[in-house]
Amino acid sequence: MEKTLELMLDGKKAVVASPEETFEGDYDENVFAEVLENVGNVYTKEYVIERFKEYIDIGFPIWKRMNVKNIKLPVYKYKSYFNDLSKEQLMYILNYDFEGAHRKYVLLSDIFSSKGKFIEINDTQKMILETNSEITNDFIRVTGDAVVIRLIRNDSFSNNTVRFVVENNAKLTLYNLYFSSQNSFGVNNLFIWAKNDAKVFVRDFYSGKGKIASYLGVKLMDTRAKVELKPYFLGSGSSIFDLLYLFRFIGQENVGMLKAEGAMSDSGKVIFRGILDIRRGAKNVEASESERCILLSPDSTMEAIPSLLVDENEIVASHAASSSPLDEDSVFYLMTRGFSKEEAKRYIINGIFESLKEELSEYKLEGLVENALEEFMG
Amino acid sequence: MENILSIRNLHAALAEDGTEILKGVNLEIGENELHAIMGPNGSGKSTLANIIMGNPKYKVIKGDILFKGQDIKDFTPDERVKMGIFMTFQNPFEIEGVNFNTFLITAYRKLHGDNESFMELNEILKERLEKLAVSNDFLNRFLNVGFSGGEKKKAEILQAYFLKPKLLILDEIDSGLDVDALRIVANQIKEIREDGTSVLIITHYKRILNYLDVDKVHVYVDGRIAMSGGIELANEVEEKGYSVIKG
Repeated sequence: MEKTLELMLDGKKAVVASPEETFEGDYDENVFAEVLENVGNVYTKEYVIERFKEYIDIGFPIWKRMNVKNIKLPVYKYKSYFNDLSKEQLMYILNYDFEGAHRKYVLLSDIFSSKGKFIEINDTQKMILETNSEITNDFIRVTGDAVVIRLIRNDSFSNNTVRFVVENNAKLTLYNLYFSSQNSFGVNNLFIWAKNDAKVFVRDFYSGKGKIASYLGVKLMDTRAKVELKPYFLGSGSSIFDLLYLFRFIGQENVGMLKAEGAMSDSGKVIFRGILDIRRGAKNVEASESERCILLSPDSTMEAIPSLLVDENEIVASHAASSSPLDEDSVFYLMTRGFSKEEAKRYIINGIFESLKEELSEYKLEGLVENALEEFMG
Repeated sequence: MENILSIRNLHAALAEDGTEILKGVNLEIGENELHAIMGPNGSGKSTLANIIMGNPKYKVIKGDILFKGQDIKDFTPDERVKMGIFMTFQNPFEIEGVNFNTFLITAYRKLHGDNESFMELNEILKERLEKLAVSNDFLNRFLNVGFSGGEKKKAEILQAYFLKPKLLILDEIDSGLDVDALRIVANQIKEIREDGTSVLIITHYKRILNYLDVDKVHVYVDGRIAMSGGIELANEVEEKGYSVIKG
């Protein structure tokens, strides 16, 4: 299993502190019995039984930063979960496992998902995966040129997991668009394994007034892969976005770029953790990370926690982070072109998301970001 | 005839800590006149321009700023622009994600209404590109983002031309321009003046004034205008430096 943090040096491992856990409100054996009743596929059944053995011993983390005290899981629902899973596909899933924001939530999806698919994309293909306050789990293997758009709307509880394997020379473009309502809580775990010469472009958009814990891990296991992650966030009300991005460089000559931008208002808080983990032997790697947040109110905050874990000399790595109120000089500049202060602010905030909107317009989805901006700006 | 701009005994300070920067500025600019303000670094020339535009970083302590006879001290920057004042910046700000072309047309319509079609306005802009000797994608880029120093100045003068102000304040429009770019920008200023626009140009050097018909030159030192005259004053400053005002 791919751990989120593995602090190792010269064969010695450091202990990583774990949060307190609670079992309150968790699914019990009876709910698991329902799962077994609903899951028809023999390999899927084998999978969930195996996962449940691990699940029952782990509690939900009490994340102080998220201020989530009680987990209220929804009533278990079954729609269609790995219905056509083959033995070979099961082996794939078992080989590509990860810890995520917290192992409990990854396992929650593995076992209690209402829906999920094993998808193989061999040619040029675009697909949209849509979920509304659900528990889901998908596995996507890309050998061609895939565009995957994930639309996640959450107004209560949502737990979504997806694993991507981008095979040699394959290309993945992923739009992960998350819309959270007030009082909602959601966990979103993604892991991407990028192989030789793979190209991966991710646009990760988090918006709304809810609480979101997200994890996006990328493992560059072979050589010459190029991965570009662009997270965007737009939080208002009492939103808390805890966003963790991990690049794990194992192979040589890989390139990983992480560039995050966003704005927070009201008492919104974003915790941005970017980990560049460059292992010994990962020569000629290029890794960069930057975060920028505009804070529109005195109570909005950004906590940037960059971690550069570098165990190889022949690499290039960089990091930059900034959070600041709206630049008054830029506002003044726009006002000297005839725009009111409010219009100037809109120009600046909208500008952050313009490239994303332009990319999404190819799929006629730019309106989703525009609506989120409209809600944000009031 | 009423002056387009009358500044009388203007004192102003930094809003943040009250440091006085303008210490009694007096300046009168008539219709279609071109005035130049020259002065050493840190004398407060750019601050004067910012205060005329209403930058909230500064506060007026006393004195008047009259635009066509109307006191504009309490007006917001956008209200001043709508009255017809426009300023180009020494270091224009980069605004990510704002398409230059769309931005200009939106600004034009805010100031002058929507009588002209999008196509007509686009034609005006396209025709300007050639005169400014910039590439065709100039207008398709984000506002000032990734522009070279010269391109930023050309973008500023393009805005000044397109938005048709009555009073144009040029804050060191000539700094960082090579000889060719300087000539291009100066020609644009001449064209802007042809429509009756008054111009206040703030500069360190006389070289841009060589291309323009200057009505008055003011030497600005320590927060006030210390000396005024014709183009000969600029020549004197060029020759002797700012010591001319001492002696």
